[in-house]
Amino acid sequence: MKKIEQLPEATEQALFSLRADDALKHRIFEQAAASGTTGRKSGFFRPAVCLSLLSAAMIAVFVLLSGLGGTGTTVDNDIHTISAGSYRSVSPVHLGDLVDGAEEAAVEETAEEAEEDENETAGPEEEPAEEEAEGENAD
Amino acid sequence: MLFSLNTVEGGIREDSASSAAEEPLSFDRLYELYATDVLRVAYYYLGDRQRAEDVTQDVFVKLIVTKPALVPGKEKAWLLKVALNRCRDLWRGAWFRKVVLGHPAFELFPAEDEVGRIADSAALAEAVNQLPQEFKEVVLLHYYQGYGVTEIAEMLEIAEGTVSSRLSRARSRLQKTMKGDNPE
Repeated sequence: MKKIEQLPEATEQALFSLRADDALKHRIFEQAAASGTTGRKSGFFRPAVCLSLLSAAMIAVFVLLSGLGGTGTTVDNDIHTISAGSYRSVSPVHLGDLVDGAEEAAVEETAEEAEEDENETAGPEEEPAEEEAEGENAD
Repeated sequence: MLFSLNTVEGGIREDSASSAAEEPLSFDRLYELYATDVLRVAYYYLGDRQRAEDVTQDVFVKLIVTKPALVPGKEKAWLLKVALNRCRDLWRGAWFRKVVLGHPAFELFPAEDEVGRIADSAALAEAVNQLPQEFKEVVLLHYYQGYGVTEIAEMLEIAEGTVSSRLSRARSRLQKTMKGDNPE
């Protein structure tokens, strides 16, 4: 039985053919060459790529947000106007359909319609008063 | 390819290959002198030839890429230290726990004409391989590579007393293993 002090001799016998050969050396040179080039690439290009991607993402988000809240987009908001005393609501006006000057026209049109409605509502109540006046004149 | 060398500061035993001239050793010379030692230490540690070759490859690639300032006489110590660190990383790795721990057989690589005459050597090598990692490190560095307690403590970055204690306990375990007792 060998003693621990004889480990070098025992290792030489037990692991005799386990040696670092030329094939391993060749692999070392190949990996060193590869890691040398890729190392330089990663050291320089990786931050640049990250910054570019980050910038592109920020620009995309900015464009998206400003596009949603911007004036160039037609938003289909309805304006419901109900005049005092009116029994029905005025037909909705679509902001998206408005062009320059059309908004004022639409407001005037809405006001006229409201006046007509008021006249129609108040019309039947005034007739008896007129009839009474005519009767008095006849007398 | 040459490596720059610093002045010897003492305290570490010089390897015979570079102590006399104190000239930078070429990569080829370092590989020729120490690669097999690194490979075998890694093999003792991991018990897997392919992994041991990978560790050896990593160590010498690091030597090429990082171009460390090796102190004359400490080249082998640097190589073994890097190798042991790499072995520890692999040992802790999930792959190793799953794949290798299930196949603990320690394969031998004897010379063809000595296959039938290495029973004692094989038993000792297998007993060393079965030691726990912390014992295996100090045994390999002391009994296989010939480093002293102070040098081992410096290489493994542990106290000298710890090295001595581990060596003593490792010897005890080895004796029990060689006698056929269960050290656990």
